[in-house]
Amino acid sequence: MNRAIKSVHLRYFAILREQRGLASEAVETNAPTAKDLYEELQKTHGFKLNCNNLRVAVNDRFVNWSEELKNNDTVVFLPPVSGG
Amino acid sequence: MLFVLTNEKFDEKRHKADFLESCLNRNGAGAYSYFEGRVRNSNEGRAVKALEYEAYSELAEKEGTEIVRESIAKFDLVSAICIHRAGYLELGEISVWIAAAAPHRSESFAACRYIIDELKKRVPIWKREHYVDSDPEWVNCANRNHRELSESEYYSRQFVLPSFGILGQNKLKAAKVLVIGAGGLGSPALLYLAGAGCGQVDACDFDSVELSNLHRQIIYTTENLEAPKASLASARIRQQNPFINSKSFSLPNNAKDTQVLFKEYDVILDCTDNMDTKLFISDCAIAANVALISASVRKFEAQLHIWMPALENSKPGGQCLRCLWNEKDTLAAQSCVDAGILGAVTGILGSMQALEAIKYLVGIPSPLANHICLVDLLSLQLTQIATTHNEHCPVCNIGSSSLAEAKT
Ligand SMILES: [Zn+2]
Repeated sequence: MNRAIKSVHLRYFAILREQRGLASEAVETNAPTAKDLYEELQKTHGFKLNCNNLRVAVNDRFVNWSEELKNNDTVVFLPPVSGG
Repeated sequence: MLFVLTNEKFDEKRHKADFLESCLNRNGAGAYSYFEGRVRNSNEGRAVKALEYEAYSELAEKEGTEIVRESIAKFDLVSAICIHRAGYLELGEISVWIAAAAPHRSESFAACRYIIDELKKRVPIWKREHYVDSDPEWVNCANRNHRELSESEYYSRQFVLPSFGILGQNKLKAAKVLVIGAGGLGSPALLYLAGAGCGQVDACDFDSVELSNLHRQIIYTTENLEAPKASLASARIRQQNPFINSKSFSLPNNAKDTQVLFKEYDVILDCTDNMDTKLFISDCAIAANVALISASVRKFEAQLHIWMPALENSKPGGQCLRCLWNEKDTLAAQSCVDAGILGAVTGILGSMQALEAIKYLVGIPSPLANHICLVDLLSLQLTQIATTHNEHCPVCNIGSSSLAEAKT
């Protein structure tokens, strides 16, 4: 597990953007995976949706929650979609 | 371009011309299908005034393009495109537009369906609904299901029934039903009518919930004690089926207003428990010429009646509850308060009323037209007895002659 501190760029959409009050931010984290990062953010910001309600994309590509994060990754947590 | 995300208002003429232009092998395309999604004025019973779409555009374009590409390969299309709006949309505006051209119609239809279904599941676009009477909400995000509810999936186990199908379902959706009495009979009747997808299911009752009701009035819980039944029941069935409408009110206390009210409905369910009210409802239903399905329960026995509207009655002369009973019988007819009643008994009869209403609305013939069904739930026997026109009935005879007068 890569517990090194890395810098990650986050983008927020829809209800997460509103709950965070920001569309994007850069964070320093030692979270090894996307799931660890979301759980960390959930504690800090009180996001109501859980991992199993969300999907995650890293660098504009859907990935599994176990995806290991690297320095300078762009991470997006996607609430349940409702287009159409 | 296979998938376009745009903030611009949809230009039908231009997009259609562009799409035809994109079909290089036009002679190979024998079928063109178009799907358009528009902003609707309500969702799950809430009045909507506008929509807002937010997209994660980089990934939405990638995923949307992939879906259209999949559809082209899967259905052997000549060409296909999907255009999705972002930003703020007014009622009636096009939110999504899909076009598919294929050699044959079944592929072009199927491709439109595939693209819209996959899009709703996979493309990162979020919809925020602006309501007439409350704050805006992100659809699918607040303690609801994780996906948009699908009406066709809701009825999927019912569609497949013989003599039902999409036609039957559409008949139910167009139907308006009034249930009078939201008690032991009304509880299951309301729930099953709503579940079946009757478009408008309204509830009448002037009572409030009492503890002694709950053993049979399964639409309520102990949390509802002392609250008015009709509005609770109406809210409950809208939760049961978000694709229907329901309102609640008390029955007018005079015949004239009640007849006017009844004329708005396709069928009335009498789920009341006393003879005076039953006769009043029957008289008004005959005058309004609307189908009436009535049940009365006593201990383990019950009677179920269907009174057809006069114009559909092939026999001469109408028939009604008053052909059989009058106010003098009221004293003899003990209500369930005195005689005692089991919840399962009203449950069965209320369900039978709902079923007869569904059959009537869908057009499935019932042997019960102009019959009484005697139900004995101790011996489990059903007996059908034909009813006939009673030439001394004050309602039917006046009713038919005034109907004749109205026609001339
Ligand atoms: Zn009569």
